[in-house]
Amino acid sequence: MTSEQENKALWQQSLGQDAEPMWEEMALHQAPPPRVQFETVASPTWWRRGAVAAALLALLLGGWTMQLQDQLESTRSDYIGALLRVDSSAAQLTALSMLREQPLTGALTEQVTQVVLTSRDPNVQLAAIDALLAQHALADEDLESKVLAQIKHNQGFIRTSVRARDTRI
Amino acid sequence: MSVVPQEDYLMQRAARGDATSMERLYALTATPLFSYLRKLGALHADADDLLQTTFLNAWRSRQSFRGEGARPWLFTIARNAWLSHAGRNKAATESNDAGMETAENALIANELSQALERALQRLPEDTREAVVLSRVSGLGISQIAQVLGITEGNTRVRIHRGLQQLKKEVEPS
Repeated sequence: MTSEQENKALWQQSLGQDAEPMWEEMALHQAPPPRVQFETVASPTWWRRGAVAAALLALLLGGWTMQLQDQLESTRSDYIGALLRVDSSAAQLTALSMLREQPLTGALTEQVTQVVLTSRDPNVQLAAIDALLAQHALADEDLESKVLAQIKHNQGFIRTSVRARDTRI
Repeated sequence: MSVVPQEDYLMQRAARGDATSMERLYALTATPLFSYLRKLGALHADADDLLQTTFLNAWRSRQSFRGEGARPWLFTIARNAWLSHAGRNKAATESNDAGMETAENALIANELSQALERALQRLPEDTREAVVLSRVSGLGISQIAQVLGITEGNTRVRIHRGLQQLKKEVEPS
């Protein structure tokens, strides 16, 4: 039994033979057309999901950029290291000038120190000491003594610079 | 007239933000809702406003729809809108109840129709509501009871009493 049949049956019970005419006369009113517009506004859930996705993307990009930067720095360090090993003042000076934009890592510090101790070119020695001082990598007194002993002919000049620590040559 | 599952389906889609489904639901249910509001005593313009309010409120609270019973849900929203409106405009409604000689009523050709409309307005509000819902809503007794927030038994009693009173009013003395 449909809802209408159920209701009609109840009307029949209550009104008897008058049920049908009364049912028919109590007519429906035709509704006017809609005036409201049902617009979809992005729910807060979507905003939240978007924000989370953007944050994740930023983290991934950030991570990727950092990884790339590490790789580039590592490649650059290898290149500087290779140049420092070449027995050529020009190559070593080029490598030492590149250290102005490159942090001195443990291995590279060791190589620069070796250049100070082994190079026969005072310009290279001074540039190497300059690089070590610029990045505060000549803090060890023992190392300082070794460096000073090695380059006696520039001793007076270098001593002043080493003691000052933060003074560029 | 029966509540078809299609309405539930449309409301479920509307609840997920499908505006077209809401428009189709309007096309299916606006006339029963409008008739309900008109027969409760709202003037044409007020009933139209209340109808629009009903659908606007339904759209705004679409996510609270529980998946079935779209039509009783819409009637409950319409009823709340009507009660709120009637509360605000009690004086206006009363004058309308007493008069009922509007231009629109003059358009009702049949004498019995006019007599019924007048008699309906003289019924107590809770009885009138039950009678009107049984005629225009397309809802079954259990769903009408759900809209009115009373038991099925009480709903049957209200409809029966209301119809008896209507019959008495329209019968020639």
